[in-house]
Order: sequence, then C-alpha cells, then structure tokens
Amino acid sequence: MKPNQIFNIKRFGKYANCSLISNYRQTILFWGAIWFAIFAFTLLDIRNPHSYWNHDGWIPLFLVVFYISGLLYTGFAFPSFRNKKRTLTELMIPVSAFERLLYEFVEKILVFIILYPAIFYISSSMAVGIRNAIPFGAVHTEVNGLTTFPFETISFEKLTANLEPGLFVMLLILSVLGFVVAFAGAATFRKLPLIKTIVVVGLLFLTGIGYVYLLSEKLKFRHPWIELTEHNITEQQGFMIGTTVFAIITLVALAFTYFKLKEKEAS
Amino acid sequence: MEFKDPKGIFQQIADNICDKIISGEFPAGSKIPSVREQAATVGVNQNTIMRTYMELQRENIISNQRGIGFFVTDNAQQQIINMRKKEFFDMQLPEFIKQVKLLNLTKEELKPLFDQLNLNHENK
Amino acid sequence: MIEITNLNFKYGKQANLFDGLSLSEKAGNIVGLLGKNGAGKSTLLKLMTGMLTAPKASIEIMGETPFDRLPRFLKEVYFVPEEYELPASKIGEFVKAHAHFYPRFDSEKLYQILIDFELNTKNSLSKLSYGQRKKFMIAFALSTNCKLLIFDEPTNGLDIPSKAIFRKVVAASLGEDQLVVISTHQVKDVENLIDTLLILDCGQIKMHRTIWDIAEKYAFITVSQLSEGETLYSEVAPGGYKVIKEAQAASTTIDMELLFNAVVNGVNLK
Repeated sequence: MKPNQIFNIKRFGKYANCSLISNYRQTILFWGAIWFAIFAFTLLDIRNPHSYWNHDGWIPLFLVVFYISGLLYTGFAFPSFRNKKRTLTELMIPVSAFERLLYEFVEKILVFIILYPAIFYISSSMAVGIRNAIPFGAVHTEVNGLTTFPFETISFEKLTANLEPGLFVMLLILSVLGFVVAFAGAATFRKLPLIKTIVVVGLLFLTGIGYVYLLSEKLKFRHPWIELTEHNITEQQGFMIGTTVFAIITLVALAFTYFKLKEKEAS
Repeated sequence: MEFKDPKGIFQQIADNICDKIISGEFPAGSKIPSVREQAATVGVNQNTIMRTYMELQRENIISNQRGIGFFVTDNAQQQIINMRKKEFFDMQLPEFIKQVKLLNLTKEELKPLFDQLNLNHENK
Repeated sequence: MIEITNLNFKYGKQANLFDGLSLSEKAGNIVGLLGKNGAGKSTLLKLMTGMLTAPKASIEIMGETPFDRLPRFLKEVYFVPEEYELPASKIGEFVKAHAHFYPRFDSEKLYQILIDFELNTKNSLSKLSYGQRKKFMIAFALSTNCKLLIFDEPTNGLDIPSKAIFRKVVAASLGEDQLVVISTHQVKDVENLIDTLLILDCGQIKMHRTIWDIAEKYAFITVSQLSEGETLYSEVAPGGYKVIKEAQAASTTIDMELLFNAVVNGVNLK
C-alpha cells in the first residue's frame, strides 16, 4: 500500500472541510451550550459578595465543566456513526481510516483542550463584569482579610502555580486519556456510546482494582520489586511513571479506535 | 392466434430512424444523431442504440465515418422502401389475406378500399 | 471491473445468503440486478462497495479489495443506497463538502440535472421529501463521473416525470470506462436503460445475459391459447397467456417480469 493511501495532507484538508461543513451547526450549538453553562454557573457562584471566586474559587467550576463537557463532546465523536444510514454515507467518503481518526482527534480533543480555557475566560469574565456592575450595595467586601468583592477576572497562572509541573503534565495526559477512551467508545457503540463506555471502563477498572486487592491483601503477594519502588522513588519519578503509563494507555485506546474505524461495517 | 405484440426496442429505434429518412427529415448524406444524443433523447442504453446503428449500417441505410458519426447513405430511402415492401409482402399481406378469408369478405366489400388506393396513387 | 469468485456470506447465525456466488462484469455497461425480497441484492451491493466484508471470498473491484476502503478506490465508486440519511445541510453545502473528493466531478452536469429535477441548491436536505432526496443523490452520483456507480432502487419514490429524466441522464452520461449497477424491483422503469440482466436467486446468480442475447433467443408474446411443445414458460394474462418461446424472425419487447418469473421458477433458459 502506498503511504498516500494512509495519509495525504490535501485529502485530510478536504475531509476537514467536509466534516466542518456537515457538522458546524452541532459544533456551534455545543460551544454555545458550554459558553452558557460557564456563564450561568459563574453567576450562580458569585451571587454572594462573600464568594471565594477571587481566591481560586473558580477552579472547581473550571475543572468540573471541563471534564463533563469534554466527555460529552468526545463521547459523541464520529456523529455519523450514531445512525446506520449516515454511517454508510460517511464510510463512502474517500478518506482513509487514519485521516478520519486524526481529524476527530484534533477536533474533539486537541481543539477542545485549547479552546475550552479561552471560552471559560471570556464567559466567566462576562459574568464577573455583569456581577460587578450590579453590586447590591456592596462596594468592597473582605472576608478574613481577603478581598472577595469586586470580583476579578480569572488568571490561569493560579491554576498551575500550586501544582508541580510533573503533576500538571500527568493530569493533562490523564485528561486526554479520559477523552480518548470516550472517543474509542464513540467509534465502537452506535447508541448511547458514552454510557456504555462508562459502564465498560468502570467494569474494567473494578476488575483491575479487585485483582490488586486480591493479590496484595488476601494473598499477601509482595514482590520485592513493588516494595523497592514503593519506598525509593521520588515524587517527580512517580509523576513520570504515571505520565508514561497514561500515555501508553492513551495510545492503545487510539490504536483500538483506529481498528474499530477500519473494520466498521454499514449493514 | 397471436396478438400483435410490441416490437422489440431495437426495431423501435431502427423504425424511428427509417421513418425520418423516408419523410426527408434525415436526407441522404446527412448526419443522424450520435449514439449519445439519441440515448439522451429517448433514455435508452447507448449499447442498445449502438447495436441498432450497426444493424442499420449492415443494411446499408447508414454509414459510419470514424470519429465523425453516422450518415444516411445515398440509397438509404430506396433501401428502406425495398425492405418495407418485402415486409409488406412477406408479413402484412399474408395476414391481411388470412383475415379476408376468415371473414369471407367479398370483392364488393373491398372495392371501396381499392378505389381509394387507386385514387391516391393517381393524385401522386 | 467486478470480479467476484466463490462468495459465501451470511448475517450472524442465519442461513447462507450467498452460496459460492461468482460474478464478472466489465466496464461500459448498465447492469440491472433483479431478485426477490431478501435475495440479498442490497447485501451484494454493500459487499461490492466495501461496506460489508466477507473475509474468505475474493471480491475485486477495479483491482482492489473493497473492504480495504482505500481512498483511491472510494473516489471511483459512488453508491446510492435505498435509504439513507444526509447531514442537515443545504444542497449547496453538501456539494461544497463532498464534490472535491471526486476528480472528475462535473458541476455543470449537477446543476443541469438539479434543474431537470426541480431542485434548488438552497433547499435544506433535511426538509426534502424521500423522493426529492433520492433525486438529489442520483444527481450527485451521476455528476461524480465515478467509474462504478451503484444505485439501489433508484426509481423508488421518484415521480413519473423524474423516472424518465433519470433514464435519459443515466443513458446519456455513461462513459466507456464506467459501469452502472441498478438494483430494482421496478423493471419497467429501467427495461430500456439496462443492457445486461442479472438475476439473483437462492444465493446464486441465476441469469447473467445481455438484452440483445435475450432478444435474439426468446420471443415474449401473448396468445389466446397455449400450444404444447413450443412454450418455454407461460403465465395467465388478461388476453389469454403471456408466453416465452424460442425467437423466430422479428424480435419482441423483452418482458422482464415474465422472464424473471421464469428464471426464479427454475425454467431452464439456456
């Protein structure tokens, strides 16, 4: 097989264009919903001038909306596969399985991770601006010596400031892993892909935990290698190992998705 | 007895071309519609039309000039008239006679018909 | 262009749909695929386009294995299934999104057919009726100028004038390097359009002949009384009997429904 039957940049461009034209309505709707959710939850959070918004109070909201919307977005990747008849139309498009995978990965995961903080910043800043304009009589509020009102626009430096760089990278890869697994589910299941994926992954996870529990607690299985690593690695090395493991699982999930796409049938 | 069954598609297309040659719509030496044009006009398979054209060519009614198209031959009209005469004597006339005998038609009954035929001929 | 040898296929645990089916088809023809409900016409078309796989069979289309779904294969094949759903875009958007995948796409042809079919590029695909969507898909398929065009029940849902337009456009646009496969129950709609007849029954190709071959060998006539011996197949008709006989002099119109019934009833037409 010639390499250009696997990836060709021109064809990839055509496919990106094709997918964008076919699905832009749903994409705009999705981002609109995220924007609105952030805006509404921010307002809800800062309705009281004593809110800790200025002091990292926004971070939980940022993370919760990030994971929920990210899983929803990636969990419904490959929109054509939700429907048998559209699956056929999609599979007849002259594009390779790799290009199809790459496109969905870029659009549903990379673009999401890059765009989400920007949308969060804009949307929450709008909510903050509006809230500050109608101060309910409060002009300046302090709680325990911290200024809580007027509210400030968020700063992403705070998000990383308290985190070790190694931990940050590991968590980022873990997020990507979560999204890629949802993404693999979207390529595999036709109906309710996200729920089925969560069930399958949950079962796998529980089985894994069960084995570890059985080995270490019930059977008192102690391998010297485990003992050794448990006591002798540094925090940084731990993050490195975590990052590597998550990255490998991510790649496995991507490879799985690729074969699912390649073997997809439209009956 | 057999009912009159519609002619096959090949015959229909050939008859149509021949009718147009006799009526003068396609005079000797003129180009008839290309296979593709004909296909587009009547919605019939190009290979079917091509087969018909080949048959007409074999009967010397049209000739093929490579890359240009099919043209009505000089003696196409005469050729068609000869063929139709043969068809008339071989097929239609025996059928007519069969019916005349079957219905016991008399000379008197048929006379107006022949009179009309003569008249038409003289007018020409 | 199509080379299928020894195809066996079944869905899950059901009985075999195809039993050692073989088929070879050359470019430059319009093939009519006939078969009863459930005979596997749509499945055969999906196997040809690589939408389904039959791992052990050898299916070669233009020298490729369809299920590999290589881009260079897919850009030469256009399949209009019987039922499909399109993205919720306007006709113009769909064309913009998909046309450039096909190297010989002819926009002028598309717009001409759309005018003939009374469709507008501003129409939203999701708001079109079944027949209108079908018309659009037919127009788009023909404009791709793909080497292999496959239509599953194309005239189903088309109004009366559109059927004639469909025939004219397909007849006019076929090139020597193209092959058109039309699967249908509406034989009247395509009887003069096709040049090769393919009858699928009981997992096998039961008939595979050109229409001139059929016209040369058989006469399809209506008789008031059946005479023994010369009739190959007969059916009761309002005027007596419709019969298939060995052809004599002039060729008759091929009665494809009669022929189909003869073949699926096991009449040996050699």
